[in-house]
Parts: sequence; structure tokens; C-alpha cells
Amino acid sequence: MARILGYFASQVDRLRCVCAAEDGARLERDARHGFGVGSHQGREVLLRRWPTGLAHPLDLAEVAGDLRSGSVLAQVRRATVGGRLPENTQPFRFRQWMFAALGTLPGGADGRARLASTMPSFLSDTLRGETDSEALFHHLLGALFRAGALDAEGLERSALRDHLAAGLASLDDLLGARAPLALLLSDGAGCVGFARSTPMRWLRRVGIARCPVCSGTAQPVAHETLRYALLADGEPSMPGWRPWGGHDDGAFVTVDRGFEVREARWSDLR
Amino acid sequence: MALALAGCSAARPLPATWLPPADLPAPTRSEGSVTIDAPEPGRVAVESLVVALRGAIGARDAGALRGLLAPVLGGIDRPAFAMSREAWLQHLDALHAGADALDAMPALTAHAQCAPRCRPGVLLEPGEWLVAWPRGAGVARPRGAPTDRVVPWMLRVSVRDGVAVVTGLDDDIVAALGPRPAVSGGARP
Repeated sequence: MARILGYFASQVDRLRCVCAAEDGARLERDARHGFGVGSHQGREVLLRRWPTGLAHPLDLAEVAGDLRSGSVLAQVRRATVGGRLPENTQPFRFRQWMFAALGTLPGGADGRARLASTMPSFLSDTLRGETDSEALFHHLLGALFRAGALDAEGLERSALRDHLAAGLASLDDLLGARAPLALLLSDGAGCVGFARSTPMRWLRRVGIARCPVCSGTAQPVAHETLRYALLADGEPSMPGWRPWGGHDDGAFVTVDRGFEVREARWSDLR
Repeated sequence: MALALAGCSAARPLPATWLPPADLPAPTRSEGSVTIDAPEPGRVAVESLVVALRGAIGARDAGALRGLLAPVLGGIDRPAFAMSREAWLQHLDALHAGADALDAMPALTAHAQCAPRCRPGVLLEPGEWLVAWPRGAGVARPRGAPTDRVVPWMLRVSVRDGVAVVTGLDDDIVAALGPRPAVSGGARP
């Protein structure tokens, strides 16, 4: 069961179908510490957050199956830093960017303050919560800003990946230590994921041969033209999933507009 | 009925006194011996706006919705009315999560229907309409919607030259029961 999930699809009304077809996309059902799901609607990022958690077992299709989006991030919280507030509930958003992460940064509050002190003021001023993940998000936005890519449309995934690599390198320098980490960042035109010492997995498929949601008993429905990519934490346990990010070195995965998935080891980019 | 929307500071109960009486006769006029419906001036324009709003909400079309609510969302030409981006996004979050609840036709109340009890100059002014979805806060939270959200459900609309323009969203309508706020939405940048 995953705590973080990225869903990127060529059709906007297939989240429920993919959730039903892919057992590997199931999220952790215990969401008592909080849960959030974000989606791109055009250039806007919309959020649904349950900061105080769900009393009943989480079913993504039930709480977000009505989303009409081909770009969705979901995260089940394990509250370690910060109260159970909307501001501390992932995913986070800034302009067209949507972000979710797992992991705790070294340094605690001092580390977060150090990150904030190096951000452009428009980013440090808009930090609303107390979590490491939000500080990391804004730190990476700062790296994009310095690269002139914060408001860029149609940014090549490889360029976005390289900007994030620079941001992560400066993160390690600032904090003086490297912590296990997994993150997904999307601007609505695909995604870039990074993970180190955190087992992650990805999947890309074309079509659903017999959609469990849309098929009747006598009339199977296939979504042949649907293309989708899924990114999640955990070891692959289902056919089609591929592992990434479990090494200390760290690795990137990019999902482009065509829903092609590419991997790159961080050491190869430095 | 209490109205509370995350990110909005004003969340006081609305007094019932401004609501139109339930037995208010439908507006009519007589032509000879025939009595026919005579919509208040501006009703057609307001209904057209509501149809467009419902279409945008139903389609989850953030761009279209932004266009329809532009007068209260502000912009470079009306900075004093600018709702913060975060406040707008929180409205959008709630509208999106509650789209099904907003599928019903809202009640339209003209200034003339509630005057003088609608407190002209504070809540509704001549030429203004209140568009209120029938479900109030607490009822309008749809299944599956986050617990920290309720659906925005009131708009103040002004008809000028036959065109209906949104001039207020639920939070600043509630706030209008006190001093009229200078800025709609939250105070964050």
C-alpha cells in the first residue's frame, strides 16, 4: 500500500477506472493522520484535504473518483512535524506547481529556517505550514526561480529534472546531511520524481483491456486509447511496476507529455 | 444559518430578517384581463449568469469560472478588489468539491423583494440581486468533500445596462452585515 501516488493520464475522467484496474495503485487505508489529493484543472491546482484524517478506511476512488483531471497527486500523512492543519497537509501548491513528498529533513526547525533564509522572499513569505515537505517544496521552487523556470510553460522534463538536481544539491549543502527522501513535482504537463533511500516504483500502461468500472456483465469496455503513468512508494509487487529510488545515491523519474517514463541516476547528472 | 469557508475570516450567522417573505406573490402585470408574468428588471440577465456559472461549475472549468467571477477576483485594473490567490483557490477547491451540491437552481432575490428589510446600502442595493443556493453551510458539504470545506453558496449580483455582474461572494456578503469590507477575500498575498 502506498502513501504517495502520482497519476498522470491522457484522459481526464479515468481515475476511477485506473484505481479499480491497478491493485498496485492502492493507497494506505489508514489515513487518520491526514490525507490530501491535488489535481490540475487547467493551470490551476485544486486541493482536497482532510487535515484531521479520515475516520473510515481510505478509498481513493471514493473520495476523488469524480476528479476530472489527468494530473493527480495524493499523499497519506504520517504526522511527524506540524499539527493536523490544512497548511500541513500535502499536496502543496504554488502557481502551477503541485508537490508531495515523503521523508523528514535533517536539522529540524533550524534546518527549515536555514532553507527559508536562502529563498527569495516571495517564497519564504508564502510558507504557511510547519512541515519539512513544504520547506523542501519552496526550496525547490527557489531553484526553479533562480533558473528562470518558475513560470516557464512547456518546460522540458529533462530541464526540469536538472533544475531539481541543482536544488537538491544545494539542499544537501545547506543541511549538511542527506536524508531519505521521495518527492513528486508536477506542473500539469507530466511530472518529475526524485527518491533516495526510499523504495519507489513506477508503471506505464496503454489501455485498460476490460475496465472493471465501465464494463457491464455482458458488454466489456476497453479504454484502448488511454495512456497513463503511475508513481508510488513501495517495492513493486504487481506485474508491470518497475523499482527506482531505493539507492542511497538517488534517482529521478520523469513523466513527459506523452506519458513516457524515463529514469536517471542522480550520479549521472552531476 | 452559519457560513464558514476556510480562509475566510467572516463567519457570522445571517439574520433572517432580510430574507424575502415566503408568500411573496410572483411578479405579474396585467394586460387587459390577462395577468402575465412580469419578471423584475434584470432577472433574465441574472438567470443567464447563473446558467453560465452552473455550467462552469458542472464542467469544473476553472478558467470559465474565473472569468465569470472576475469582477470580485480583481486584477491589475481593480487591485482594491483583488481577492488573494489563495483565497480564490480555496473558493475554487470548495466549488469543485461541491459541484454536485451546486447543481440545483439557486434562489434569486431582487432588492425590491426584500426592501427595506434587506438593509439597502449594506447588503443589497437597488439593482442588486442575491443568488443563494438552497442548501446552507453544513448541509452543502458533499459526500467525500474535505471536512474543512463547505460550499460557497451566495453571490451578490448587480445588473448594469442589462448585464449581470458578480459583485460579491459569500464571505464578503456575510461581512457586509458589519462594515462593508474594503477587500474581498483573505488578506494574504
